[in-house]
This record gives sequence, C-alpha cells and structure tokens, in this order.
Amino acid sequence: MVRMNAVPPETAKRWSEMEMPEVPKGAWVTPKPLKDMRVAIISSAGLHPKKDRPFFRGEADYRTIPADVSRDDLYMSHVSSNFDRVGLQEDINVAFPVDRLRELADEGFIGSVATNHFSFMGATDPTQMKEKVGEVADKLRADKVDTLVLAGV
Amino acid sequence: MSVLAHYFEQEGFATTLISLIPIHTEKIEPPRGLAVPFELGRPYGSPSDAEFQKQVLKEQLQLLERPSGPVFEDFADDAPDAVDANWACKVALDPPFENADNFAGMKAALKAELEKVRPAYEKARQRRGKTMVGVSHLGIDMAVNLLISFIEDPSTSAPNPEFPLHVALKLATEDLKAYYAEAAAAEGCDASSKQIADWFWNETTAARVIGKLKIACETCGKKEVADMAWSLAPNGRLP
Repeated sequence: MVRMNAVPPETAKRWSEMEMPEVPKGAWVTPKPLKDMRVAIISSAGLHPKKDRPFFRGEADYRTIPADVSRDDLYMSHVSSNFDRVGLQEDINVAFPVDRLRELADEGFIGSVATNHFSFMGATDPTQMKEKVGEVADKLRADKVDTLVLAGV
Repeated sequence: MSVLAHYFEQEGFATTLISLIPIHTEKIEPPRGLAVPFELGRPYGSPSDAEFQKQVLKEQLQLLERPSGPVFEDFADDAPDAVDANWACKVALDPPFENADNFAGMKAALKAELEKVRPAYEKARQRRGKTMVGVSHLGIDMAVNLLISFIEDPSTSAPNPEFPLHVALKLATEDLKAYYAEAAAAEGCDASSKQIADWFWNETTAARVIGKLKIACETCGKKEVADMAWSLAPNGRLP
C-alpha cells in the first residue's frame, strides 16, 4: 500500500477523513478462465490520444485509447498534481500497461486484448460517471470484451 | 476506481483493480483488488522494469481465479529501485530568481532558463522517442507566454477558444512542469520522482513563476480561475 509515513501528514489525514461515495455493492461476475478472456484496460489517469480534447476539472466523460496506440500519442490531463508524472513520462506502462497486456496475450496467459481501452479522469466524483460507464460498457460488449483491468493512479 | 469496479461488474464485466490507497478500497469493497506498495502515479511499480510490471499485472489478473469475493490481496514486493541516491540534475541553471516583486527580472530569468533547459528536453525526447509535453496545444514558448501575460494582466484572454482561461492556464502550467521534468531525465531514468520534484521546486525560476501565477489566479476575481489555483502545484510545494 502507499506507505502512510511516505505521504505528507495532511494528505494522510485528508485520505482517512474523506467521505466515500455510496455505491450498491455485491455484483459478482464469474470470470472466464484466464486463457479465454478478452481484456480491456480502464484507466483513471486522465490519459487520451493527443488529438482528443484534454479533460476539464469535474468532467465525468471518458476517452477512447486504441490498443495499438503509439507511445508518442498520449497526453495526460488529470487535474491533480499530487501523483508522480515522471514514471509515466518514461514509460506509459507504469500506469497504463498496454504493452504488458499485449505480451500476456501473445504468451497465451490471457485470450486476447480489446480493440480499445478507455480512460476517465479520476479526480471527478465517480458517481457522476455511471451513465458514461454504461456507454463504455456498450462499446466493450460490441467488441466481445468480458474482463476489465482497472488501473488507478 | 473502486466505484467504477462496482458499476462495470453490474454491467456484466469481471473486474480486477490495482489499489494504491487501500484505506479507501477497504471501504468501497470492489469485487477484486490488489493492493500495491508503490507511489501514487505508478500502479505497476517501475518505469524501467517491464518484467516487474508484467508480474504485477499477472497477479492482478490471477485474482480473477478466486471462486468468491470480495477479494483484496497484497502484492508482496517493493518496486525495484533503480535510483541513484546521489542524483543531481545535469541541466546547469543559474540560481532561481527570488525577487518576486521584480517580475520583469523574473520573466527575463525564466526565458533565459528555458533556453538552458531546451537542449536537455530535446535530448530526452530523442532518447524516449516520445514526449508528453504539448497538452495545452500551445507549444512550450506560447504556453510560457500565456502564464507571463496572465501574471502581468489578469484580463488576458484564453488563446484557444476551445479552452476556457482556467483550463488554458492549468494545461500551460502542466506543460511547463513536464518540459523541465523530461529534461531532467535526458540522460536516463535514474532519479526518483522526489529528486526531480525537489530540483524543480527548489532550484528553478520556473517554479517561482508558478508561485506568482498561483497568487495571480487566487486574486484575479474570476471564480473558475481562483478555484483552479490549488491544482497548479503538489500539496506543500507552494505557500
């Protein structure tokens, strides 16, 4: 876990006091065997192809990232300055493991990789994203995706 | 992300997430989560170790083999440490311009500093074959000019009609920070995020200008711009 002693005390206090959103719990999908899964990544890092409009503060929308995106075709417009960017600047896989996922498919560890991955901007209240999650779900179903790797930052 | 896990599971997808803040994940109880001991911004641990990233991803995926949940497990290993404890930025700069009351001097110092940073940025871009600078859609020189113009005259308008002023200022600031951070890693990625942040916030005139910008945003009388000011710097780096 993020070591609380490595986090500034005011940040640790804010985290522990932060009110968590109400969300219906308990949904459980029985997964396919790993070798048969078709997998997409959902990132909350505010990533997007360079041609797309950056995320604005409070925005609950998403961006579509082709699975074969060039490593020089991603921007990050997450509103928070309180997480590291240096790792992402060096290698996008440290937060968005697009190449690693492809390798796992090539090795047969998973079945296949989705045509597209998706990104939200994690500083937005996630309960505002429910409608957009529905849109993304429709796109994922159309692509026969069954499994999601959720990568927060 | 834990909330989205519930939403996507309700939509019929099996989900597995990485948790960097377990005290939040424990409260929201997503179906499957892997708690990792890495810094914020690096859920897969290390930017310089692909095998380690893959191991984290495999363990995250293997949570999908548990018969029932919620599942919340720990990843055991720390990220491999490829950091030089004695790292010092090789971009040689003059000491930062400290006289905040002399903005003409600070502006000139920033422009001169940018010229010293530029070759290292270009070298980093060549080494990596990529850059994440440019999100403001302005280019670094126009981005810097926007920040300066706003500090000098808060009635400055946004250069791109698609981006409101508060967005343009935020993105231009992100480009300035990223330009320096990428330049600092021109020779390789052997510095920690803290070493690079310490260098930027303690040793550059660019950081002093962002300090001036934050005050200008807070006092400009435009609510959206003032409300954005906190996000210009990490907590604790500016007054």
